[in-house]
Formats: sequence, structure tokens, C-alpha cells
Amino acid sequence: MLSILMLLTDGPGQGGGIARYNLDLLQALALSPEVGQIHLLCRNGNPETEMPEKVQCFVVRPGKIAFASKALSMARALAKDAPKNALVFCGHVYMSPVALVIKRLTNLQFWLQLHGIDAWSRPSRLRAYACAQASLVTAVSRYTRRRFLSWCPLPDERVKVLPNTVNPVFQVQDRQQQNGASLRLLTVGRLSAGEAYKGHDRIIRALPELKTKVPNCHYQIVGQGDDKPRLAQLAAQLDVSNCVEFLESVSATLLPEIYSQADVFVMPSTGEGFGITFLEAMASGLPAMGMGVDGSVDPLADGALGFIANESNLVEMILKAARSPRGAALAAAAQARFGQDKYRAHVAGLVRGYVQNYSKLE
Amino acid sequence: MCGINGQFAYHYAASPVDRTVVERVRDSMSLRGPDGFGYWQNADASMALGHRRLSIIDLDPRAAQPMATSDAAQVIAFNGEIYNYLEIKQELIQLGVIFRTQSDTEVLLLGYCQFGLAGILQRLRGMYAFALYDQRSNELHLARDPYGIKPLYVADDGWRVHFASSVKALKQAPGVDLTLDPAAQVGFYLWASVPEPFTWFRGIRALPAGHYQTISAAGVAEPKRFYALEDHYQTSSSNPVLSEAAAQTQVASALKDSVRAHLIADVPVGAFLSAGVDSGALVALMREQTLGEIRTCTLRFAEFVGTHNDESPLAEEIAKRYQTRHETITISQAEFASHLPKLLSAMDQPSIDGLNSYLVSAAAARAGLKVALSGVGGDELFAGYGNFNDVPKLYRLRYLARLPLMSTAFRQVARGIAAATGLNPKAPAVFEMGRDWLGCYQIKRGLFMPWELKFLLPPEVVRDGLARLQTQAMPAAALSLDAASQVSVLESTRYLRNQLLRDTDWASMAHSLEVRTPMVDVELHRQLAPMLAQFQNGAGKRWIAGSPNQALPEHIWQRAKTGFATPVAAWLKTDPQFDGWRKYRFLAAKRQHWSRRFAVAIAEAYSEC
Repeated sequence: MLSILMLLTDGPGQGGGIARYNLDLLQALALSPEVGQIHLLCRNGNPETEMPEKVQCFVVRPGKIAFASKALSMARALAKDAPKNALVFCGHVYMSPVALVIKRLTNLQFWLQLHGIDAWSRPSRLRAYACAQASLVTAVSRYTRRRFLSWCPLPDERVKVLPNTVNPVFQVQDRQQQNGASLRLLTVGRLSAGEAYKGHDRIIRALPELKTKVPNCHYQIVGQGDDKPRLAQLAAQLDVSNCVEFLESVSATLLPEIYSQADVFVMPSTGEGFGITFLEAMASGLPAMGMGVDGSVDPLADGALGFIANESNLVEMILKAARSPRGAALAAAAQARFGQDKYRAHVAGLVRGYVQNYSKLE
Repeated sequence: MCGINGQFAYHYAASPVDRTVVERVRDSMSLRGPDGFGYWQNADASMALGHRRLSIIDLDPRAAQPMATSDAAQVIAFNGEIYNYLEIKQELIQLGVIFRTQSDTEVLLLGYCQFGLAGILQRLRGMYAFALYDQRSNELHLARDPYGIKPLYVADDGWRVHFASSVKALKQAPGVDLTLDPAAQVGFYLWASVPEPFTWFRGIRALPAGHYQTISAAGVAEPKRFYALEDHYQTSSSNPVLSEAAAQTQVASALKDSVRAHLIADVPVGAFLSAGVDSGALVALMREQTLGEIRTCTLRFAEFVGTHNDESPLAEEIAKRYQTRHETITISQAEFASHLPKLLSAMDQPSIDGLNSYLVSAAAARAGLKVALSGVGGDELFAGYGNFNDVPKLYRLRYLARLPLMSTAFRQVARGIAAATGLNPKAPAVFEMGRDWLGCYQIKRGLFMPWELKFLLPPEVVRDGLARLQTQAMPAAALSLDAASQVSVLESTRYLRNQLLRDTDWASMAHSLEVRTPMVDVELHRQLAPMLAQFQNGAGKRWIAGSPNQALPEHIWQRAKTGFATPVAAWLKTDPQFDGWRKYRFLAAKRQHWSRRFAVAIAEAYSEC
């Protein structure tokens, strides 16, 4: 049985996409028959969160040095107990030097996780070197895998794709009484002025043309961040403020209902590692549209599940997506492709493959 | 010889196979298999195989591919020839296996079912690349012969894998990463061909020779080696030295056996004939085993007529001696220029070789041949290259390159001297690269030296390319071999594999011609590799010449080795199609070998076509 030391940036109890991914993976690993114990060490998170069986969550150490030394001492203990059946899971490229030091000092191999933009460009020399020492790498999307392999000299075969999975809470719900809008667009995503890649501004710029085709349209933006003033100003400049609504504080439990009330999910982003919100929207029966130039091509399944637009046909594709069938069939297709059953079986297969192949690597 | 391809949507999130894509990739290889085509996919459309057929053994339509077992549990697409398929078939029949066809494909398929993948691979003698899908385990197995005579390329995007017999075919598949691979660019300028497993494109990898690879729902496993040439030198390096007569007998016996095996076909088999010992001996041995007509072809260049480089008179003499129906094809610069667009289009990956193979294959196909034997590989196994002397001499100077810091300093000084005096630009490498066998070999066989790359490629491409190529070390098992064996391993696993065999494949397939290589044969290698040290200084070639019952005349095997010369150097001066090198000032310097300028022109032309 394999013992795993998981080093995470964002652990259970945290919000955000990386924490969601980590929690899904943690649960899948805990269900994997080859996994005996999981020792969890995360920099951010709540150790009081209920954990799956097999998981021991250790005190969160926010400081880098403290975190690294705690990780090393846990790894030493693991290497002593089960030197040939232990593995370090490194949950972020930023932590790869820690995993490398552990490997050098304890001989424990490490599995590296790539979330997206963090792995797209060559990092510092130390991190790049550390990444190239991983025995197994999982990337959240094909695009992220490709970008990682463009600078990392690992064999292609060692880098697998492990996409996000979708929580069953996202499902088709009854729609409430409509508010009068004939077309309701929705984007769920962080509003970060520094990143500004989510494409909110693309939608706002498309609204004047969209209004000529569907006069009573409404654009709801869900998410927090410092980019809101810029977007609000842009909406004002284009005289579409009256149909743009910002919802900053939305709890996770409310999200399924918000998806269920919209007509189309739009996120013409160019910087998604994967784009979990596309998946959540479609699992809620809501048609989704993205640009497909980044990791989002995966949840959109190359256009088989969602719609892929480009700069020149954005309005056309929004309308096409909005007119497409929504509801149970789309939700079932999204669950069939990215549901937790398949995800967990795949994680178990990766662990089995690791045990058979990678654990023998020097 | 055929073209195979397929697609496996192995990841749970992948969409089903798109049949039109598989057929488009398949049909882009129509010249590899003009006699038929086939398609197969499984019930849930997660796996599909395509095949273009060049019928050589069992011309019956029942032998068409992809071929499935009677219960359809296993399906195969196979490219190449299994020369010992009748022996394996006999073994299977004795075990109760029932056959439906006379083809070697069925032997391979049912052999897998009986012996497993490792078991059948151990038994195979031939040139092959195949894709075998086992529906019971939902696993796809890809495999490639020990020398890498037949190609197989793989493109994995993390959800699905495309594979095909050619790089250019895979360009037809959507989603394949076609950004240029720094390792391929750097490797091409260092070695004059793209070293496997890299290809010109980042998203396409060669399955390494002598390896198999399994793809399952868990993903694409790293290739596993099932055969290593160097193992056979090593296990035999302590063999006793044979007497002249015993050595001659052993060489003759092994060569006759290889030629016999390579003649198995249901269509006529011809040969490429030069003035060299290897092809001459092959034709002589063919004559001993063939009652009917043998067709032979020789290529000559109009510029060489009447010079020492013109091989046609001696080739015609050999043809007459062994009673073949012989044809000499003369190519002028103008004719070559007219061939050039098609040649570049057929060139699967950039190479400075392959011109001669392309032109002689065109002639052989025009003469009606479907199969031809080639003497390629004889120099690697019988110590025919000058490198068998030169590389060990360089290795004796290795201490010059092992002086800390001094070696780089010496090289810098030597570079200055070389540039000023017109010395060979590779000469300074002795001080820096000659510290081990691979370095010494690279000085002799390499095209550009690493420090010259900065004149040809952007710095980040050089950095990334060199980093990726670091994995291409000398096989550890080869390090304990004698000098000749180490050179033979390097020549066989680099120059022969990445250049000669690869070029022979695309150049012959462009004309739907199957080229067989009796000198590149695992059984021949097993028998003769232990004797390699005895083959030096011309003995190997002498024993090749003496192998036929009617031996080659002495003036043939005593003739100084010229290599296959082409007038490219002259064309480079006058043909505007090869003008690209002129923008690199350092190539205008004295003592630049024509091949360095040609490589630059080819890289540009390949990228444009």
C-alpha cells in the first residue's frame, strides 16, 4: 500500500479553483485501493475540516521555511517507515524545490501537479530543474500539458492529464420566475486587474451589438476582485451599464441556483488552466461558450460540449449557444464526461500505474 | 511494406474517434500502400486503425488489414515484413493454432495471442512497425524493429494518441503540436539528421527502434526496450579469434542466410547495384538463390561520367557477371532540379541524404520493381567506414579534452587559428569534445560543432535543444566494448538509424517500392557482431566479397571506398534553389564542406514545404 505525503498550497477549507481541485483529488486518492495513508500538509486551509478516511491533516504552516522543514521531517518519517511504498505529491510548481530537496535527502519520488498559468512559462532555474526531476506530472488540461512540455525536458509520457471533475451539487434545477430579460448572460470568475484575461470586457464590448439583436439582454458578472471599477467604467462608456450586474459576494451554495437562472454561460477567457466554471455551468444544464485558446478547450470538449468562439464571431456564437438545447441532456453529457466516477477511477489508475512503473525509477 | 495509422482516445474525457481524420491521415500515405486500404474501429469508437497496403506476401484480399482475430478480440495494422514468419507459423500450428491466410500479418497477430507481446517480439526477424489493439485489456501496443528500419511516429495530446508511419501524415491530424522542436533543429545541425525520438515537430515523437509502447486508459506508458544491438557485441567480446578460413565460412554462411530470408516474397525482388562490395555481393548471393530474372539498377550523375566517381561501369560489370537485367539511369542537374519539389515533399524529416535513394527508387519503380534489396548497413557491421580507424585515434587524444578549463581555452585559440588559416572548422573540437567515445564520434560524423549553432539558430533554441539532447548518451552497455564495437554501435544507432534507414524508407515509399536490407538484420548481427574486431582494415569487406560461390573479382573489393558521391557541391554553387546558405557569413569561409551549406538549404526548404 502506498503512503502519500501531499504538499498543498490550498487545502481543505479554502476557497478557489486550486483548493477545489486539491479536495477532489484528495478524496479520489483516499478511495484508491492502492493508497494506504495520506499525510496532508498545506500552507493554507483549515485542519478542522472533515477529512476522508486514510487522511491525516497536519498543522498548517504558513511560513515558507517552516513549511519546508515540516515537509522534510514528515518525508523523513515516511521514508523510514515505507521507503519503497511512499510518494510525495507536490501540489504546485512553486513547491517543486521542496519536493526536490526531499527527493535528494530521502529518495522519495514526487508527483507534480500543474494547475495552469503557473506552468505555462519557464519558471526560475531552480524550479525548472526541480520540475524536470518529477517522476509523474499531472496537468489539469491538455493545453497546460503542452505549455509545460514546451520548456520542461521530461519525456512526454511522464506528463498526464488529470482534469477537474464536477461536483454533483451542480445539476439542473427548476428555474424561477424570469425577471423580464429575454437573454441572460452569466460569467463566474475572479475579477483581477492584474490578470484581466477572463474576457468580461469582451462581453461588455459585445453588448451594444447584442442589444441590436436581442434588445432586452442582461449580463450578470459573479466574482470578486479589483477589476470591477474598470469593467463598470467600460460599461458606462458603452452605455450598457443598465444591463450589466455585478454580484460580488456569492456563497458556493448559491452558485448552482445562479447557473440555473441564466440562459448562457460566457467566459471568453484566454488564460484558463482548465476553467472549472464552464463545467459547473454545463452540469447545471447551462450552455457554455469560451474562446478555446487555452485550457478551456477541455471542458468545452473541443466544441462537442460547449461552444468555441473567436474574436470575430463572438456575438454570433453567444446567440448560437443561447439557442442551443439546455437542461438535462447537456447536464448528463457533462457528468458523463467529467463526472466523479470516471475521475476517481482514473486517479486510481494513475496510482496503479505509478506503483507499477514510476516507483522503480532511480 | 505499407502505411499504418490510427487513433486511440484513451482518456475518459476524450471525444470518440473521428473517422474522417483517421482516413485523411491514412490516405496521405497512399504512396506507401497503393494496392488497398482498410479501416477498423471498435464499438465505442474510442480506437481506430487505418492501413494502406503494398501487397508483397499473400496478395489475396483476405490478407487485407487491419486484420482481426476470428473473435475480433485483437486487431492489428502492420507495416513491414517478417522474414521468419513461416518458422513462427509452424511453431504455432504445432500448438494448435489455425490460420486463415498465408500472410505474415496473421502470424504476428496470432503469435501475440499465443506468446504475448514480449514473446512474439523475441521471435521476430524482419523490418516492422505495428499497432496491435487488444480489446480485452483495452490496450494498444506499438512496436518497432530493433534497427528502426520501419518508422512509427506518435502524437499524444494527453487525451488521445495519433500514430502513423510518417511525420507528414500526422500533420493531417488536428490538435497535433506542430511548433518546431528545438531538439530536432539542434540535432539536425549537429548530426545532419533529426535524432530519434525527436522529430521536426514538438508534438510528434518517434517510437525508438527496438522498443514497444503500451497505451491504456491510464495513459501512454514510456517506451520499453526489447532489443539492444550493443548487448550482442558485449556478450561476445571475449570470443576467440577465428582463423581466416573459419571467418570466411562464418561470414558466407550468415550472409547467405540473410539473403535467403530477404528474398521471401510473392512478387519479383530486384536490387540496387553500385560499384561497392556490399551490393555486388548481395546480387551474387541472390543469383545463387534465384533461378529467374533479377533486375538491378544503378544511378549515375551526368557530371561524373568518365570520372572515378562514376560507378556505372563497374556496376555493369557485376551485373554482367551475375546475369542480371541491368539498367543504368543517368541524372543531369536539370533532371534533378525537376525532381526536387517532389523529393522535398516526400522527405519526411530534413536530411542531407536520401537524394540517391530517391532517384534510384524512382528508376526501380519505373522498371516495374515492387521490392529491391539494398546493401545499406554493410559498413556499420563490417567496419567499412574510415571512422573505425579515425575515431579510436581521436580517442587516444582524449586527455587533451580532459584538462580542466584548458580544453576550452585551447579550443578558442584553435578556432581562431582555424578561421585564419582555413583549417577544418571541426579541428578545434579535439580540445573540447574528444573526452569520450561519443564526443570523438561526433567530431568525425557531426556536421556542425555545438559552438557553431549560435550562427544558425536563436540562443533559446540552442539552449533548449542542447538540454533535451543530453538524454542521448552512449548506451551504458556499450562502454565496456572494444573500440571497433563501440564505433559500430554508434554508427548503427545514429547514422544508420537516423539517416540512412530513415531516408531509405521515405525515398523508396515515395515510389511505392519496398527496399529490403539484408545487411541490417538481427540474425546476421547476432552471428557476426562477435567477430567485429576481426573485420577491421578491410578484412570484413574481403570476406563479404568471398562469400558468393562465384566470388566478386579482386579489383572490385580492392577498389578504394569512395562512398556514394553526388555532385551536390557543384549544384550548390549554381542552383538558386540552394542559395539559402549564403546569408550565413561563416559558411562562406574556406574549407566548408558542401554538406554544411546543403543542410542549411534543406532546413529552409523543408520548413517551407
